[in-house]
Amino acid sequence: MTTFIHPLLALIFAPLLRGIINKTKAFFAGRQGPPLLQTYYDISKLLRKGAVYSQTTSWVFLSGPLAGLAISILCLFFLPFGNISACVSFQGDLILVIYLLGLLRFFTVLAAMDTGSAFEGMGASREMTFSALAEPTMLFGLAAIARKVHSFSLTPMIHDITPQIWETGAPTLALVISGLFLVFLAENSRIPVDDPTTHLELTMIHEVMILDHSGVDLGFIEYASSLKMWILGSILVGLAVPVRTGHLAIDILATLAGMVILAIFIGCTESTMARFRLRLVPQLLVGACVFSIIGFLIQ
Amino acid sequence: MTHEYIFALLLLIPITSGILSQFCASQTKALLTSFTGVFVAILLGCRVVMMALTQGRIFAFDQWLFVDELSAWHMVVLFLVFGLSSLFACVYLGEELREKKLSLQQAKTFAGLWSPAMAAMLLVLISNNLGIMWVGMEATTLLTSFLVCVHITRSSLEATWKYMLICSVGIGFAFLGTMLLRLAAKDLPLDPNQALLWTNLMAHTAFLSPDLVKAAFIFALVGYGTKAGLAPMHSWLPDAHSKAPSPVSAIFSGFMLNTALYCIMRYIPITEETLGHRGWALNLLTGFGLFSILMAAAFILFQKDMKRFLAYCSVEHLGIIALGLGLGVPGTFAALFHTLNHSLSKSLAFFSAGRLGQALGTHDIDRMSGSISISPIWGTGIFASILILIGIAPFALFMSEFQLLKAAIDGHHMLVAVVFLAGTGIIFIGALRYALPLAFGKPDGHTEPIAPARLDAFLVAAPLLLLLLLGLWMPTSLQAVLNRAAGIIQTSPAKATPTVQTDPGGRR
Amino acid sequence: MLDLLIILVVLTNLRLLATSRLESLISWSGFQGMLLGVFALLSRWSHMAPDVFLVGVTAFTLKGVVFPLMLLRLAKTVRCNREADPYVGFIASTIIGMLAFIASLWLGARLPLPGNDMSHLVLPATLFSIFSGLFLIISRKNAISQVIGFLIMENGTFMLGVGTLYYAPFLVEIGALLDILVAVLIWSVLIRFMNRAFGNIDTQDLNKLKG
Repeated sequence: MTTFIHPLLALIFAPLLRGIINKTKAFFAGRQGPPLLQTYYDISKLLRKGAVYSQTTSWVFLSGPLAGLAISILCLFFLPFGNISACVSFQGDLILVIYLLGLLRFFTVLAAMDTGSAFEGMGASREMTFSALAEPTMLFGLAAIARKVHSFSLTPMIHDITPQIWETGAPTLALVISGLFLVFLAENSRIPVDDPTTHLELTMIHEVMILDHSGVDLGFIEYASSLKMWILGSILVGLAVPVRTGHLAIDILATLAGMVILAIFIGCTESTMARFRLRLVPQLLVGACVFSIIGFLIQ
Repeated sequence: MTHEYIFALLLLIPITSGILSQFCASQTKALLTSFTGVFVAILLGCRVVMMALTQGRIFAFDQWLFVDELSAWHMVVLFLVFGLSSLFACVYLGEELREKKLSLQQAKTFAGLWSPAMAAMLLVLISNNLGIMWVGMEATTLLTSFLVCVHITRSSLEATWKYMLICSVGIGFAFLGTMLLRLAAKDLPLDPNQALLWTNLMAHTAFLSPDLVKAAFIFALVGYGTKAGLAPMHSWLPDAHSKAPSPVSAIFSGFMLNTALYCIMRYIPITEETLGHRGWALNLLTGFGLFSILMAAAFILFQKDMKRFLAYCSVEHLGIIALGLGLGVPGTFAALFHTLNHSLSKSLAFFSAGRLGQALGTHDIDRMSGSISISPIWGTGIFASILILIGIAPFALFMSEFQLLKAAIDGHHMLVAVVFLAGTGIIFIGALRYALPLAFGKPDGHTEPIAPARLDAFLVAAPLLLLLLLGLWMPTSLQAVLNRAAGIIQTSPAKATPTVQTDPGGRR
Repeated sequence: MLDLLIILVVLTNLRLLATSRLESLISWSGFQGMLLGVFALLSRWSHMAPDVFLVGVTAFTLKGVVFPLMLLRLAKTVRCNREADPYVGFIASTIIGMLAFIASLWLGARLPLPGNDMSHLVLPATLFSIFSGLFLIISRKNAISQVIGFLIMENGTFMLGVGTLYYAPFLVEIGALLDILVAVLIWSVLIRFMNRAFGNIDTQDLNKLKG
């Protein structure tokens, strides 16, 4: 039973993250903001609606959201949650997770390009460019951690991030976390990479790819993106919060608290920074890559 | 105790005269204050040199300063060059003053930097502590940079910028070399304050770590080599020498480059002894030397500006000295002899080129033709100095180059000898092509001839005669000094230091 | 702790390679100077002596405060705050910087420094700083950027000087710091002259002396 804790927690709590982020941004702006459970309401509303399909699309367009949801849920089974092991874990599963995320991106992009719309094509090309820079960052970052704990599987890696490791390897861990944080911002279309609240299609990256989805499909997509945020967040929190007491309740609570703090931190970042010019986003991602590589090298 | 007193005075007097010149009210007074400082320092320095040559090494200030035969020899060259250049500066700047081209501010800048530059070069020569040697070297760069752009024009600013940038980068490398050497000396059973002393390092080479010494030598060679004008780090040289006023060019070529090479000379024995005398450092030096000669040869062929031509000539000769250092003891003897010859002849060349350029208003070689008719003294000066520089017998420069060639052949470095001959041959042909029209051609335009003056005649005749004399006859005392100095650089425990004899007839 | 400082220095170098605004360059080099001052003090904390303390404080003040202020004033006087277009673009500079860091790590491993209780990253960071400084000098056209490149180079050698247990005598280190101060003063004056003569401080105009 304990093995399924992480997927259960993720399925239940993932949409809450976006709610926390929006509440934080509202707090900075002096507003009330949408309720914390707004994402749940949105998803359930969307699931009750019918979808409209353009006649220029094909089965690819239909498969995009489905694949997205399926892959996100699949990823949950490989990820540890702080001290709690993943359901399935083997040597090399970190590469599997990264590639699953890549597959997710692949299907999203295909669905976007299938519509034949110029906006979505533009979003697709931007997405692929930035991911081309974000993936090496993730790989190098996780490889650095793998090198440090001498294991190539996510569960032992995150399991071994104890306060002792933090004492001896603080520079590496700090660098990797910075790099992965920037990847988090890029993959989840947060400021400064992409503004999730913009209504101008020319400035969107992720939002524009899902412009033509509606109804149930859109509901799936929203849920899948919440899960993706949870996935990347759990890796970050696993690295950053070295609570490994062994008590189930304390570990879960600590990691959950870490996720909440991460969401608040994202909210703060979004409120205090403006979106970067598109030209500067590759430089930001190259910077993140540099952090990861240096973290990898100084082992 | 007296040693410390005299060393301190040696450094402080030029610095003080430089500072005092800032308070003078007229150009002449400022310049004369500075030059007086230089000459007093020269007198004191001669005393120090005599002491060193008779008593052996002299130490001062807790062994941080010292003078041995190598330093003494270089000090002699320094005094000759600075003395002659100061006299020439009187002529050159005097002419500028007459033409009202030298403002008070410019004169004060010149005077305020001239004698402290000499003090900085002296500091390099008399320091035992390699770190202080580095500080002195950096000080020479900093002090001479504004000497290059005394007259502020676009090209002189460009030259100064390149000079400052390239030489500062070089000095940065040299500092890294010094630090690495300090680390190599970690096992020295000494107080850390004494660990960078050259004498201590030489005495304890068994304790130095070979890898770090190799790294230190490479950085020092590249760093100090930049200041010395070894190719490929020489790119600042032609610009700085051509755009600086001629007295400044004379001390650059005549002595500052040698100072940098002196620093390398101090690193050689440490490296060689630590690495077991396998010639690793010497090979590097030979490589740089040959490369400099070839680079200079390539560029000399199409020069149009007289002072730039002379600058490339300096690159060639510094390459020859480096080559000599790389060829073992007889080569080092020739190289040290060559420092004197090159400094004297290059100073004379810059004096003549400068004075003629001043009268003609240009340094363009084509427009400077027929200089003998404009001024017999300076025309002879430039013609003779170019000939000497390319190695005409029976002047001393020919002798030192010949000794170097002999050293190469005796040591079975045939390739080195061939490349050396090729380089100097190309330069010979290239320079001769300029020299004849320069001296005997038809003068361009209407320039009034320069009135001959006794000081001019002295400035031309003295170096010429000295070079002729040394070419024909090397006094045994000089030979002994050079032998001992060469022995300091090329220490060798295996065989006794062979001495080099020169035939009094100048024929070998 | 020392490791962290060295990593921060390396990161500031990379930031310098990738930035174009002059104020940004100057501030980051000032930050690096402060890091080095702290490094100088911390690395010899256990054998603190008055002269060691003085070197650290002087380094902190000169490199972290005096030089940035001088350069900022200079930039304001010549009215220049952006690099025109450098010879090497910014992403390319960052990538070259990374490769250089990898090369420095390799070289550092081949040349083990004595005094291993200090950080093993000192020599690679030194070599990397020297490379970054040189690269800034070569790839930037703005004269002030080149001065900053020189300062970065000197920061590198300073790190080596204070980062191991076997350091040079106090006079030499202070001499080195003062030499850099005089050099920066000279450069400021030169740049002002150049601005008056050329109207800008773009070193592309300094190409008349050739051959």
